[in-house]
Amino acid sequence: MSSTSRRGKRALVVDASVARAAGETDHPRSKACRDFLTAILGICHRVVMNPTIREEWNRHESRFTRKWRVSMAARHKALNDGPAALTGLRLEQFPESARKAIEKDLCLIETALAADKEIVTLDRRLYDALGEAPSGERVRDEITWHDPVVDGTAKLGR
Amino acid sequence: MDRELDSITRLAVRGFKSISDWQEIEIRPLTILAGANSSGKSSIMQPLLLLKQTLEAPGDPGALLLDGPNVRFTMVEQMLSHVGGRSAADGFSVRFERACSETLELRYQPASQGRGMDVTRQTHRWSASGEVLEDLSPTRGEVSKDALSPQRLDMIATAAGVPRSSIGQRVVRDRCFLKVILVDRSRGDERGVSTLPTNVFTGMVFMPQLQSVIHVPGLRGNPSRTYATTATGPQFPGFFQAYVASLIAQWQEEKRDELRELARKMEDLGLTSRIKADAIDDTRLEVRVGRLPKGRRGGAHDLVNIADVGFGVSQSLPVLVALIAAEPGQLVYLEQPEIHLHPKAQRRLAHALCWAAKRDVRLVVETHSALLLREVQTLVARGEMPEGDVRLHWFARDDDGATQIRTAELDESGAYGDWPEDFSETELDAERAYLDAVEQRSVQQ
Repeated sequence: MSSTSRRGKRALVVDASVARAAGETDHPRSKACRDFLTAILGICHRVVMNPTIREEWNRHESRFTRKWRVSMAARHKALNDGPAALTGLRLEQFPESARKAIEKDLCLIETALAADKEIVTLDRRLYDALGEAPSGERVRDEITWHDPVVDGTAKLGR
Repeated sequence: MDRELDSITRLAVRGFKSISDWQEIEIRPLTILAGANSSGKSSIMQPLLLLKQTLEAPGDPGALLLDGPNVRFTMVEQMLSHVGGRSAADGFSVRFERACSETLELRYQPASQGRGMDVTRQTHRWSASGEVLEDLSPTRGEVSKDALSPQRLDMIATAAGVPRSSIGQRVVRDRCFLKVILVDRSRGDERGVSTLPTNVFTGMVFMPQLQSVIHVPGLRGNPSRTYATTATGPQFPGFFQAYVASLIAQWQEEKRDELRELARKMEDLGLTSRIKADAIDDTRLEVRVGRLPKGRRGGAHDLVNIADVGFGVSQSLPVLVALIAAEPGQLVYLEQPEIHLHPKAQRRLAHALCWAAKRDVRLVVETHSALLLREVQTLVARGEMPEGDVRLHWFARDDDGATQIRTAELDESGAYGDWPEDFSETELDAERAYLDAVEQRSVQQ
């Protein structure tokens, strides 16, 4: 995934896969996700959610992630999404398996493109699926991808 | 007196215990003081309590009654700042602002003669413009020319029909304040004359707010089988819990709504549904409460002495009675109102606090309860509590040990933005530490 490090206050989209792992004790994924979420709370970044992402989070929420979301909200660091961005993806160009993976997580892409173009996820399938067609590659490269296990908090910046 | 107009809206302190430099809190209907132990939460309120107990003492206790019912010091050094290894401050200052935009600043220093503290300066200003109305220092019998502003002196001279130059001013102490004694110098003997007011005593304007402060301390004592009969306000000298049984008895005798409100709030907290205070003899009362937390048919007479139920009841009772008894504009200082309460009851206590705040009672609440604070935020987010009526003051100490206060206002969603620390983040850290430990253990195995 992209390894660009950016600076300044940004709004991140955090996939529910991170929420689920943070509430578990699956070494080393869980601790890496908890460290990542704690880092977001501690520095100036915010998270942005749309109703679909929020519903996914609710489904996978643990005590840890619930408290994290409450603290984020109390600090004005949890944003509701604005109008979704047009992705420019031409889904008919993608093989069926890739198209299904993209459709499943399209809300992450739309929300990220409308915010600061950063997605935090443990699931590589979306990233790989976008690489299956030129319109997807453009979108993939426009976004900064964070994998808390692989990248840690290195790309978060300050 | 219009209490809402006269209520204290800001309090600032300097040189007192860990508060070495000026620190100020705005007092809104619900003012929450939070922060670590020994961070200065109580210290910001203690000068106000010192003035209260000084004004309430029988006779003249000097400029400050150090060892009284609300605050206890035995030496002046105990109250002065010693921060960062520096020597003790040479005194402390306290400043109040009233809703009508007047500010009174008082300076206290160790007495140059005798023991205790002296009041060494008193400055009265308009808050908005900063215009000084009077700036007094004791004249020790000398006549001062400039204690009062020339404009104010002109007004007095015109009203009295005497030339301004003939008015002499002597500044003397009256309990914890300074006042100006006016004399007619043209008579030679410096006696007052009938056409002059005898004195200008600004402190008198601030006295009612200070004396009417209701103080519910963190240590509220063990429940007792009997309570002494007391007066029932409107002022409550010393600790408030002494008056609780008599207030309940009065409400009961006069069939007042306050008693029903108290029962509702006790039931809402899950404590009891009935409360009674009956005279045992001419000097003592017994407080009895319902055995069950919820009212039920036939339960009206199922009462037990308050000493026979859990501490939650006896410790919450003074808090709830204070919230109900206080008048709009009256300042109620609650230290740890949540002690001995179950988490569910701590959440409901937030509703009782907001109920009183919406009556414009001025609550200053010192708390360590994450649940209480979160429930206040929830009530704001629901639109049940105006966000402008809540102020959060976070107390911390810097590397030198000096108290620093940061203030947060809630927005309409109950969020407070960039506050130094959130109680729930401590809980988040605890969750994180536990999950990390479990994860580590499973890896080792």
